[in-house]
Amino acid sequence: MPSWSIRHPLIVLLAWCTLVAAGGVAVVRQITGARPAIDNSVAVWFMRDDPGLVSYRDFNRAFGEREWSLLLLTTDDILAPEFLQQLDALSDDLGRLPDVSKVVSLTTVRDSETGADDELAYTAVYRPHGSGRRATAEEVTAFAARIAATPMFHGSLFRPGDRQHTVLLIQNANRLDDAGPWRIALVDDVHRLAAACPGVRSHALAGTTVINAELNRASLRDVLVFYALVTALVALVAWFSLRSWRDVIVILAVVTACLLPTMGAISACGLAFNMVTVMLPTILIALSVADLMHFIHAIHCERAGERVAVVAPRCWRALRLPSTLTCLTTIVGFLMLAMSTVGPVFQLGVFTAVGLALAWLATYTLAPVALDALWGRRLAPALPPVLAGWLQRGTRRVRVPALAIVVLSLVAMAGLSRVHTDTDYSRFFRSWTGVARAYDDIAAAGFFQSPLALSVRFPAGSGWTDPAEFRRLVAFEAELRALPAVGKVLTATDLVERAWISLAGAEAARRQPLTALDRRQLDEVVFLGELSGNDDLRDFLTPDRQRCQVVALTAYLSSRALLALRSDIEALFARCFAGSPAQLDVTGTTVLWANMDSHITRTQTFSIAGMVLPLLVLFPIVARSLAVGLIAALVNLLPLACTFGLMGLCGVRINIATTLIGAIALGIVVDDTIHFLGRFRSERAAGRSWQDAIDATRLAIGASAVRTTAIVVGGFATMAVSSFRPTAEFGIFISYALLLGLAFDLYVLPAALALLAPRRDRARVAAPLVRTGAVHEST
Amino acid sequence: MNRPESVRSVLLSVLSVLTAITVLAAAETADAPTIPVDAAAAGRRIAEEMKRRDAGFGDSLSEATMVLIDRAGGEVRRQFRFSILEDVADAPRSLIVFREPRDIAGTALLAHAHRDRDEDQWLHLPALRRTKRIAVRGRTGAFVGSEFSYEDLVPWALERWTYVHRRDEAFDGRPCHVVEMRPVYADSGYRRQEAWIDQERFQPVRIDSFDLQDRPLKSLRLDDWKRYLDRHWRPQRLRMSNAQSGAATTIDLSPYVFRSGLTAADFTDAAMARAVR
Repeated sequence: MPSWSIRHPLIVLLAWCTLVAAGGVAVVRQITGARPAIDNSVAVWFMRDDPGLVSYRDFNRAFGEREWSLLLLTTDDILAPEFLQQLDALSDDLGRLPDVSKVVSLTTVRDSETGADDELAYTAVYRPHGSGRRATAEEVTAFAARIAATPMFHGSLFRPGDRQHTVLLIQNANRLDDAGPWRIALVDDVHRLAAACPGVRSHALAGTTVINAELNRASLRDVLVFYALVTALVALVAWFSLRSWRDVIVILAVVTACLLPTMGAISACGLAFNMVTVMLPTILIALSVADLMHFIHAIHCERAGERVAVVAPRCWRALRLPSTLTCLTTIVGFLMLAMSTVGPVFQLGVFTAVGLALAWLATYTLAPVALDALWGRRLAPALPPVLAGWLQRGTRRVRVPALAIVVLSLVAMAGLSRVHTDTDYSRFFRSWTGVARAYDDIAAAGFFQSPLALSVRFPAGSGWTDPAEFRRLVAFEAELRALPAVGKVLTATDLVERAWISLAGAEAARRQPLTALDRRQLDEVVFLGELSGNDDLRDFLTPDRQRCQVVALTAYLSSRALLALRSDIEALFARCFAGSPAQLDVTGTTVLWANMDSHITRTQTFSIAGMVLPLLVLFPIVARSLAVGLIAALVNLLPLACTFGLMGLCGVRINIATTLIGAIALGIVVDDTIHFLGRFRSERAAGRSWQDAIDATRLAIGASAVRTTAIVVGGFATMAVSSFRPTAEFGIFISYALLLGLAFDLYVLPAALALLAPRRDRARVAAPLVRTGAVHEST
Repeated sequence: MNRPESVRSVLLSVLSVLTAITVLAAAETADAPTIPVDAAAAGRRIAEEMKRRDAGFGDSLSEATMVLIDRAGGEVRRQFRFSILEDVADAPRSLIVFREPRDIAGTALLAHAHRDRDEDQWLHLPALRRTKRIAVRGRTGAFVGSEFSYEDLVPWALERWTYVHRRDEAFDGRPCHVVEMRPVYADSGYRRQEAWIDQERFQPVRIDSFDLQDRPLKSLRLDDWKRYLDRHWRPQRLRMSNAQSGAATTIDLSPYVFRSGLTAADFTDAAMARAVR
């Protein structure tokens, strides 16, 4: 392949330039087009027929595509007339924002009441609401007494006894399929307005809209930062490794040749980037140079003043099998991710595999052409002496380090039992984003930041006003309030009860509560509520009364805790509605995110299993020895186990990003092992003794292994700067896995192979080496 | 004949003819108002003409079938009888008696509109054996869960809006005046409305409503027009579409019965209880 390419350089260059240009055009069209470049909306993460997503869409059809965000305000006194006036203005301003349908605050909250003229109205409890004037002292006193006497308001808007904090409940849009930047704009606008409110000392904003917005923001930031950082890092490491700007140019050319067409393919498929696929450029840049470094190193070692065109075929013959195998194993590692039911993970797997295939092709077509054109007969600089000297040390020097590495790895694996899948999106962002702090502030103030939607569907022929079903529902709501994890329950029952009290009078309502009314009477009370202006009922009750929504406010729960709470609620519902065909659906964006844990676990399991099984077959074949092959497989699996163990010890959970570590790391660490085994076999075939073959292999492969690992680790390590914690954890721990894999390949594998040396081979005389890795003279 | 006299007589003749033509033309077009150049005045004039054209209907009643259509296409039906009394001294009175669905059958809603203040409303609840006065501050709320708000169903009162004539435009093949209307009363759910007023009938055939943020909110189409008493045009079908939620509501009206003898006594809270039996 390199020979053909060097003989037809123009064709090769034209083909690659066309491919790169096409990819570039597709990317530019996406960036400048109407379609958003980043999409972390809920619908992206699930298959279209995912039961949780289907259920959520059905819920949205019934109650509207809306969700609640919580804005905590801290002030000197929430009942100060001046603050109430400012709060009313702020509520009004927030209510006018695009995508905000309603703001419930101390000054906008409404209640059913009968006025002096016996007129029933659903009207603001705060009398001056909407007028812009300041409340009088008498009005504030009456207002304070009214809200203190109405339990419905406690715990959601204010807490009795706490005069410094109040919460605004903002009902905003929640369009599942809309990837536009409207969430970011909404969150920024809310922050801006709250910060500008004079009486507010500090504020905190929480909700799934906030998290979604920050996901989009982090993704956009990461794609720009990563790309710049990793490109610079690759160029830097390549320069220090190879000491030649010519080789750096070749590396950057190959990187561009595989990256742009891949990104272009994503754009051409109409896909936007998300928090998983933003890692693709970094991964691809880092991995695309792996085989290329081996090839460049081999070329320079062989040349000794000859043209690249002369030595390229020899190097291709020496490298084609291990290079193809390593490329295939890495591609297979990514294709294992394509088995995931999480869309972005699937996309990452498929498109990275495509990119790696292009990188391999570019390495053996474009790189030879570029190297021949740039180098001519010039010699490359010498290997850094420190690295050469270190690699020349023999087996005696590897046993002790190998033992230390294995012992430390076994210690780290003690953390394996602590590894599990658990997702807490409020902790996903670095401190500088303010998201985690906002959730903490709201919790510290005693409020609950996370609304859980419980949708109850009544059977045909009955409904919310069916007395039997209504009594069951009231009992369910009472028991729900008693659950420790539930802080507050918002329900249609409270609103209708207030209307009933206003109609019948407090005393009469106590003697004849709602649960004592027949169906027609209940229907009429609900109707009265609706006609007297209670449009809040529509948030909780469908017009046909067949469905109702109960909102349970909780602290932000991790996915495990949330799924446990869901189980408790479902058991509670089954108990309260025993004998009734009514159905409960616990839904909402947080529930969907929690459901994703099962997809993540499945991804993790299948992707690793999909890599391990082929390796157990591949290594013995490459090594031509079952024992050697199994040793090699173990040498590659131990770093992964150790990495997960370390994650467990550090308290890092398996999440949407760290689930990718297994298959990707495995696909990479096997590369050097395959090169090692291939070279070892060649040395043995050339007549070297077992030990000499190990030493020669270590010397030959070690330098390029160190260089490629440095580049790949450097590339992944750039992800540590992400403001999205899972991405940073992915970058850190996969870098650790790769470094550990290198250590295993350079120390543990040679030491283990030495133990397998047959007695009869130790005295054989070595034949001359093919020079693909020895130290060469400088220019 | 002297030339000056002959010229004068010719001129007089021509003038007479022209005057006659003008008078005849004016007589023919007595019902077609001239629209002043100023847009606000023009809008006001159009609204006044709408009121004038429909004045004198006395009373009317009709049976209505309302269908609520959600975004997914699901339907919920309501049926009610709608009667209205044209109160020349004050403002119209209306009575809605619900027949379906079962959960609200027998309830009745009475409204007395006023020129200079908010209307009064009463709700009759037969199962609870009560009649309750309810506030109209909830005018923006959905009428029995439909896309019509109470504000949409209160009989239109001239003085409660300002009017600006924006342009002339055809709709459904009929030439219309497009008039922008803005409410002058408090608590409206609309910032403004745009109404297409049929130039021949002076009735609205389309009304687009904008929310308080001036975003398109709802669009009302009025179709199947019939003329009653040789003067009063009434639509037999209304369709309100919500641009923001994707839901819609249709109201199909049976042929109106005019001047059936309804009086003010038929529009009292006591009369509601009789009406539902």
